[in-house]
Amino acid sequence: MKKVYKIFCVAILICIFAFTLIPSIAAKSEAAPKTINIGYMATLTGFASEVLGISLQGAELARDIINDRGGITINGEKYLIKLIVEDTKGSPDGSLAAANKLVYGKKLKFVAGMFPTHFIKAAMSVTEPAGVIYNRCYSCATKDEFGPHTPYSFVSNVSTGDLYKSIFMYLTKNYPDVKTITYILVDDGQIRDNDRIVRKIAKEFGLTIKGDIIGWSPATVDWSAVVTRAIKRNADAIMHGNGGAMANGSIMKIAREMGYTGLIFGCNADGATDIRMVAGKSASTNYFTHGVSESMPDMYPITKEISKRAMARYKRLTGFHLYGFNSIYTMVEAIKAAQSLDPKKVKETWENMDTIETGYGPGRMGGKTLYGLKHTVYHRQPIQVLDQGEIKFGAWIELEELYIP
Amino acid sequence: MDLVVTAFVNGLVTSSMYILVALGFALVLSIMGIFNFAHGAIYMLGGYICYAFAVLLGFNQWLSLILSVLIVGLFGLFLERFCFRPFSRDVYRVIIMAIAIILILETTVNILLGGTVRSLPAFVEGIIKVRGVSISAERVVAFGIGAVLLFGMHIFIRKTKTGQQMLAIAQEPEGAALQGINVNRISALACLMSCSLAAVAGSLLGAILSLSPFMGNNMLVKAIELVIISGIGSIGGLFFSGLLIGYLDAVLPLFTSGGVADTISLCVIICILLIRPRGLFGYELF
Repeated sequence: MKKVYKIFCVAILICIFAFTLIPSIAAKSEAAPKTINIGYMATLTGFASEVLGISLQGAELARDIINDRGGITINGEKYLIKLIVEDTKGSPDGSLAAANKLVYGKKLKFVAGMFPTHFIKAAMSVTEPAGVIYNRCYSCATKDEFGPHTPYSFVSNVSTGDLYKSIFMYLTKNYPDVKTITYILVDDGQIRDNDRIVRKIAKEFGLTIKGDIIGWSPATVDWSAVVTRAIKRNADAIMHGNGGAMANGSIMKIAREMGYTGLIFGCNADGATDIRMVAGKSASTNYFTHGVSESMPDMYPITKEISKRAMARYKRLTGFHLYGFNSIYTMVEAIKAAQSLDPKKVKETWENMDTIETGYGPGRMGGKTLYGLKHTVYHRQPIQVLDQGEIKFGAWIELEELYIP
Repeated sequence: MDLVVTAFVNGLVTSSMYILVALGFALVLSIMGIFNFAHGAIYMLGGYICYAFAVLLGFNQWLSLILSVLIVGLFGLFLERFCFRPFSRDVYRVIIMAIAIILILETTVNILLGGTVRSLPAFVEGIIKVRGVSISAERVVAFGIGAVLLFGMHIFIRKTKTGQQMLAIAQEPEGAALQGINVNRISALACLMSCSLAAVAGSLLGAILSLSPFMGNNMLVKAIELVIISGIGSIGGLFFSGLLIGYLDAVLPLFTSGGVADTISLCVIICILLIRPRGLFGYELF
């Protein structure tokens, strides 16, 4: 009996050994794909995190789509994408800390993410001297944040300067009577440079920005005074810029409460869904903005896939998903093209690329005229309309041509 | 003339919002001597609880407001008993406790409901016209409720025995205790009232403005500004400082950029403090 017991114990031990050790040996014997670690700076808490945080979901979608396709091949070796996320805490010092952790703590060579100009500038003070490629989601078109002095910085989406072009294209095509505009923008350091750019682009379209840009402080609680000032300008339309859905939705709501029935339009990354959420259905009319939805017509297969995954996982699709998506996806496209993980080689390859795949479909590299270096990704841009509280598709803007379904 | 009327109305409404939030903050500061930096987060919590009942569970909006006030009021009792009372004589620990409460509340709301911006439906629909100026009815209602609560608080503290006990504790806690006043009970009541007022403000302003887990941050700064200008312990002063800051915020952006308007407002506060370091009405106790 004792012998049987001993044999039983030995058998159990062998089984345990086999079940624990053999799979790990097997796993090691397979050629496990390596990973490319990409840092992602996301505003998950603090200022405007209610919208900016969504971009992380987009970045995760990009990672999953790339990895589900088997990753990327560099010099014959397979690589999967791994995101390492840091919260910017909605402040410049939080962004600085996030960049430091990723660049010096985790020793990453590629980082992505973020929107507001003062956060980006803080992060760039770490990434540029370290020679780390930083592909941000957006540019607020300030000279400090993007230009020849920032050789390792790329912008993965059509941003402020070019958004003016696309929104004015839609405006002049659909509202030919509008000639003068009052412009409301967050006063966080981007007004001076934006003033120069927006007036220049408006002039190209035969439009005039009436008076100075009306700036609101990031500490603003109530936008009534700002809206009062805008309405008193008696322009043909009111435009609001960067600042987040909370501010821009409130601006429309207050304007309608004050009896303003004229055209309001947004030139920023907030979609119509979030704007309507804040403004309420009754105030959400005679309005258009840049925005993305799952029901857009004529989407490219990649956009359809993002939409399908976002709806399944997050129950919504916004422009911020695409912003986050592109910041990872376009950088991986550049790494693929360079066939190297050396940031210098990737940078050189990227700035010589003319076309690039984006979440919106085929895109191209540009930005030399506006920013002084060819580091900006251009892609088609959708416009959303709010009419009597309903969200409608407006148009796909191709920057040089306007497509209306 | 149109602009003057608009500025007047805007200033009145903005002031009432600030006073509504600052009232609860001032109450805890005066009675318990605690800078409750979590007041902004409690204000946010009030708005979200109202949202949960009104939008997610489909309750009547006014009933949701009452439920929010009750729940947040009870939360105030919890805070007083377990977070503030054990450290009532230790300023630094109370500050750390308040910061912890902010982080816990903001993160909890962020995780449970997501950071996505939300808005409560209007408590009252419609637009009211005053001398050609349109004002939303919900802003008028918020102003009315704010005024009634301010007046009610003033009467409560001046005319009731409990209010007088609050005054006594604010003046000299040990002396009040020697007179047989139950300091813990009155402090708990003050915390309950403070949190309930924050819930009213969060719910009303959640409808007028919008909801976000971090909506309390800017409001907290305004509440602190109001209390500093009025001087600790003055409800009348709070009314005055509310009007001052509210009007500065409502009028200055009409003429200058937001950043400059902020700077001017803060310069006014600094000037007041240089002239009267205890605040304009700091010598008063309520």
